Amino acid sequence: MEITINYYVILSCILFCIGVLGFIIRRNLLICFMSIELMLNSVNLLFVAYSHFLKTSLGLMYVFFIMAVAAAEVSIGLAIIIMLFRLKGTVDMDKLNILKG
Amino acid sequence: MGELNINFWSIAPQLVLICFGFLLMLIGGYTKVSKSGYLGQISALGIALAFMVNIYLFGSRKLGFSNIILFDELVGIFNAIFFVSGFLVCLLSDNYIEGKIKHTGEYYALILFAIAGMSFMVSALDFLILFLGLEMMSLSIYVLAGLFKQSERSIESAMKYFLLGSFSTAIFLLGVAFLYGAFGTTNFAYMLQHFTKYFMDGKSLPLLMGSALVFSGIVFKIAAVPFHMWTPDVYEGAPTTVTAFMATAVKAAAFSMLFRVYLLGLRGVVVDYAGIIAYLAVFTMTLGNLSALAQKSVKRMLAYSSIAHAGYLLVGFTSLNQIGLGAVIFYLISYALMNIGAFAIISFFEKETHSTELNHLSGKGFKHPFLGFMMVIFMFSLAGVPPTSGFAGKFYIFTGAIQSGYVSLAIIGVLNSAISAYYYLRVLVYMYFKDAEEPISNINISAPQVVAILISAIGVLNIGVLPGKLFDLTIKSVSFLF
Repeated sequence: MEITINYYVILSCILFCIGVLGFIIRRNLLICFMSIELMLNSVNLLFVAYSHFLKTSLGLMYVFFIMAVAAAEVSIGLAIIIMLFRLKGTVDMDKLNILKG
Repeated sequence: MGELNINFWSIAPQLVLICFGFLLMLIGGYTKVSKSGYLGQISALGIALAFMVNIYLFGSRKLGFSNIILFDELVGIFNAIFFVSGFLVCLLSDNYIEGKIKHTGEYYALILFAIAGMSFMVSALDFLILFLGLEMMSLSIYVLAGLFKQSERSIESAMKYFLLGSFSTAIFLLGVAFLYGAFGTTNFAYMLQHFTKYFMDGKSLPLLMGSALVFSGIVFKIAAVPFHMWTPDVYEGAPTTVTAFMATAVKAAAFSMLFRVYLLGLRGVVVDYAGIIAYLAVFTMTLGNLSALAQKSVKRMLAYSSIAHAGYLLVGFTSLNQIGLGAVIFYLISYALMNIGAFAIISFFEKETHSTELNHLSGKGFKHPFLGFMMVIFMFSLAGVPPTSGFAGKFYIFTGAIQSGYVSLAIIGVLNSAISAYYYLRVLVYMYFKDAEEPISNINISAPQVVAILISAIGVLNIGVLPGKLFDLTIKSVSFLF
């Protein structure tokens, strides 16, 4: 059986949807954060797969840039979570309730 | 794809900003915290220099870095919006952030980096650069929103903005990946040329999915319905000067993405999207205005009003003719001036009363005649009262919509701006016709802040009285699309 591009597309779509579901359902900020990373990595997988099947290297370039940006995002996100923990003593999303109206 | 033509002129304004950003971090690190008052002026100087470079380049067309970065008139005029709002925000931050942020060098450096990111976004001719510019802007703004480390509100708004912002970035990227799969490249010029060929070639599914996902990523940044929920919380919690920056420059950058992606790269789907955008515009305007009516806090009210203004701007985009698109840029300029002015005055009162509630403004108009008068100008302009730029902007936007046959859209827009007059004028009623609840103390305004407020007020009146020249310029900048 030949593995076509569609397998990779479907796999990365499934991974992306798991990430979206995790982001929506879980209440722990760290887990939400990991779900976003999962979404970004599923995009990376899609880029690599397309790059392989289209025989162009642009997709691989994208993967490097996305990985670098994701690393920057992680450092900022964790810093914000730490500040939040210092002020509130919790990383529960439902406790983010001062601002509303 | 062609030879490697590195042309540093195409990114000259951004280079100036980045150099000044690093310089500010360096100076900020080496000066005593008590003596760092002049950093705001240095950053304003840097932005003014970048603005000069931008004016010097304006009118020319520079293509660089293997055709992935373009400087043309559209870029020049969007750059001007970013630079003016950044300049005003740097001047206004002067004593607002004093005592709340220890190392002010970082604050100004982040503003400069964010502006450089926006500038890259609008000059992008490739999704790769667009994405990097978007992230450069967003990451800086996430940090800026949470820079008042002792305030729970500020941190909470940063957290919400960060989570939803990176979520939308992931969706945007998935769209880019699908477009890459459909075209084999992500260059806008190539996409524009070969759109129909690929569409007929059985690749329409990834193409449509990609363009829809990219579109929802952009709508999130614009803060239009249905992706508007983060706006009021984030705008209310963030430091007021940062909110002013987010409501003006970031919104303009998001609209520049809409211009670049949907009028240049994916031109083939934009006619189908115009119908969707029309509905989005109606819901965005109405929801923003109706929610703003019920707000007690002026800052939150302005956040909802920024959603409503995004709706008016989308009306201009829907019309897809020269007047409508020119009017969007014109409106972004006038909106930047009036909104920064309004947020600035709120930030002065906030410094005094530590609150942005509406009833804390009572009686302030007569006690602080200068600030009161300026607030009158900005509120009239936001409401769209004739001698101000807000009126001229709305007039052009609705003219464009009527020309394209969207008469009902224009009528809904006018009705909406009538609703909005109620909550804008209510601020003035509180300021002038209610008695003060508490003894009124002095407000300490520094010279740069007065200059910034005067610039925005004069700008609002000047554009409002003589809109013709600027409007011709904006129309000319979009003329290459037709």
